[in-house]
Amino acid sequence: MIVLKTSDNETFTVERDVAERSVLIKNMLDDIGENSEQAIPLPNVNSSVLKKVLEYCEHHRGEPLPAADADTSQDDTRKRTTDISEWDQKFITVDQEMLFEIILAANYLDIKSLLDVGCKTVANMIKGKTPEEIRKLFNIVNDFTPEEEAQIKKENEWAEDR
Amino acid sequence: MSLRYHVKPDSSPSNKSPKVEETNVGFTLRSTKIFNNSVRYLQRTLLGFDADADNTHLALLKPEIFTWKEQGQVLNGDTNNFACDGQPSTLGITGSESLFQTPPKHRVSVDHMPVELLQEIFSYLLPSRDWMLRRSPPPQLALVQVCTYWRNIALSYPRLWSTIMIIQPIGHHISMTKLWLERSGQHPLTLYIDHRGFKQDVALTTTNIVIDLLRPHAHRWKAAIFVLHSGLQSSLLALRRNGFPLLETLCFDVIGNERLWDKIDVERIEEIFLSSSSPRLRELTWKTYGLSLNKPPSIPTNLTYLAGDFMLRLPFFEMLSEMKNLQTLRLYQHERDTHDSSRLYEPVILHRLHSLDIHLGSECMTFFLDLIRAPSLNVLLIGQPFSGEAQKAICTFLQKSHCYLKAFTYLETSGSRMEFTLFEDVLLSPQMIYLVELNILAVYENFNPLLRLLAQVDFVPVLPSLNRLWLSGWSCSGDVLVDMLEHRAKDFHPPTQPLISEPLFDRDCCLSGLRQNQCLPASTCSLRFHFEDYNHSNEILEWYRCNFNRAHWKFRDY
Repeated sequence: MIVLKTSDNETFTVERDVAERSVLIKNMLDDIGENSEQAIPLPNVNSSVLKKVLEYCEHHRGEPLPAADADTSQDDTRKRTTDISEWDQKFITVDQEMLFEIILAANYLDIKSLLDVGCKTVANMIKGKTPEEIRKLFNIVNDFTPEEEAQIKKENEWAEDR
Repeated sequence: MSLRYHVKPDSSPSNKSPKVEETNVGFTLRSTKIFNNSVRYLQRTLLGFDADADNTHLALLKPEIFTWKEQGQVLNGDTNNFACDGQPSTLGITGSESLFQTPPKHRVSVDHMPVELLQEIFSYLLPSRDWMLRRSPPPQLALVQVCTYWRNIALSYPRLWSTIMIIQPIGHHISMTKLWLERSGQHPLTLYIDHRGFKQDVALTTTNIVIDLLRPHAHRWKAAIFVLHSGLQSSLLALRRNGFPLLETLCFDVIGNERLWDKIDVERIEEIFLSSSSPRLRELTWKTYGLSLNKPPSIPTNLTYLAGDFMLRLPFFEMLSEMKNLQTLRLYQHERDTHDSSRLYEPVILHRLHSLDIHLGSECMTFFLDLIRAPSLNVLLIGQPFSGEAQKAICTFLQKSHCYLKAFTYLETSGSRMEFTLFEDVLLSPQMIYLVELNILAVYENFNPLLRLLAQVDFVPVLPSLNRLWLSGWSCSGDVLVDMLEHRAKDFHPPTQPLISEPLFDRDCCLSGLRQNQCLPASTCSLRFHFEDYNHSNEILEWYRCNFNRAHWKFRDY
């Protein structure tokens, strides 16, 4: 069993194969050796996020880990699918803050499949929306000056005219 | 004019609240009027010309003091705009993103996403091959209009602009191509020019202009997919030989009236792209109604993917025997005589072939399968109705190849409604015992014989490893379907990956007599039925109601 310590000083005891879905943790474990009983500090992940991440790792334990270059080999000639499996969809149905926390944690912990699920979810939220709808969705302020907006409009008018 | 700003290290990076406040101490940020300064605009645009810009791991010497959004500004602007206590901060390239990994202390929003993660998200928004400019604007343009942070990231990410998708060409594609070429810097290009479904003069005119624009960039073409109507484009013929050092994927697919294509032109295209002009070429689709004068075309031997409507004659098999790395082979039939009686002494062994897609008539298929062996084959797709003799040829081919299929797909493309022809010999072949995926898309009158076969589980179940089934067609009986489901449904658990056969489904894989949505692979389904008509539909409706929470099982209308 492996002990993980979060940024808010909570500890989680998990089985090694679950924890090793994270390449970061796997590398740490390889470095400190088999017999260490030290808790592994995860200063960038808080307990509520780690709980969700471990739920994902638990569900996907035993599945083959994606190759490190899996996505880079998927070049521009092939469409990158944004399909998400049924379980993953339910898992990632969380509020926006948790969604972005999960993405950041997956990036930090180096869990590629979870990072993909998070990024695809955000991409699916954006897909088909206008700039104004995207701003509204993510509460982003339009910080273009009127001159900049005019410039952008001019730049893109060919695409609007149909 | 310079303004004095104090950057609060712990302030929220969200642009909902200002991150910088005017003060007398701290950092100096020159106010930047990106769009009022044409030189800066060009600089930013030109950032895309840096080949490294697509793989940005930019770090600041004092990373903790900048939010992600400000890093995006640095990524976009020049370094002189950032100064620390009068001393310019320095941009460095590093592989250690962990420098930026500071614990989130505030409400996390999209603005907290580091540049590389937003780029990753943006890359999922690239249009797919069914996107058409005449119906909707390019999704990339929405990203650059959200806010300056997103705009900067999108403009400094050449990959977003390096796929030039011209499906059903219209005049606006010319402006799009110019902008995309400008913003893609030196990034390798992927080109799609597809005339299918749209034959107007504007398509030909636009194609000529677009290819003229793309010609000076031929050295960075990585993939070029041309599906062109009759009347070969003069601009295509003006391309230079030996000018495609990066080209890995080429599709040259001529459509329209065969008689309007000139054999000489097709041969010139062949000489331009093949015959050592493209040293990196690995994937080739060559569908020219057999018009190439060289039969087969002078194809490089190190291909991993080959598709085309080749003459099945001795030179073709001799060419195949040279292709030691071939993994996928797709054969299409055209109207001409496609095979002859010249026989090889021994079948060609394609050691690495794992996917075979055959759209040949029964006679040609039998001829072809008799002349090859594929010991590593695990995906087979048959795209035309086949006779009893061809069925035997398939079984013999599988047996003599000593291969075990994982996925078998049958597409009945004739479009005529007919009684189900059960290829029982194929399905019951020993080479099918590890089959996990079965896809049958056909305009059959009913699928009951197949469903009854699958329901046989008394001794050894038929296709015992099957865990993914997709049937799309005209009709079946609800009671027979429910009987099969009662026996087998538990095998069809949630899939963890797309269909194994999905790469063999073309974008235009819409079979006559079936709707397009009946022909699109769904990676989240393990059990999928799409029939126009269910006899005894109450039974299937009742069964589905009892199992409604299985989202990975799809039944049309239920």
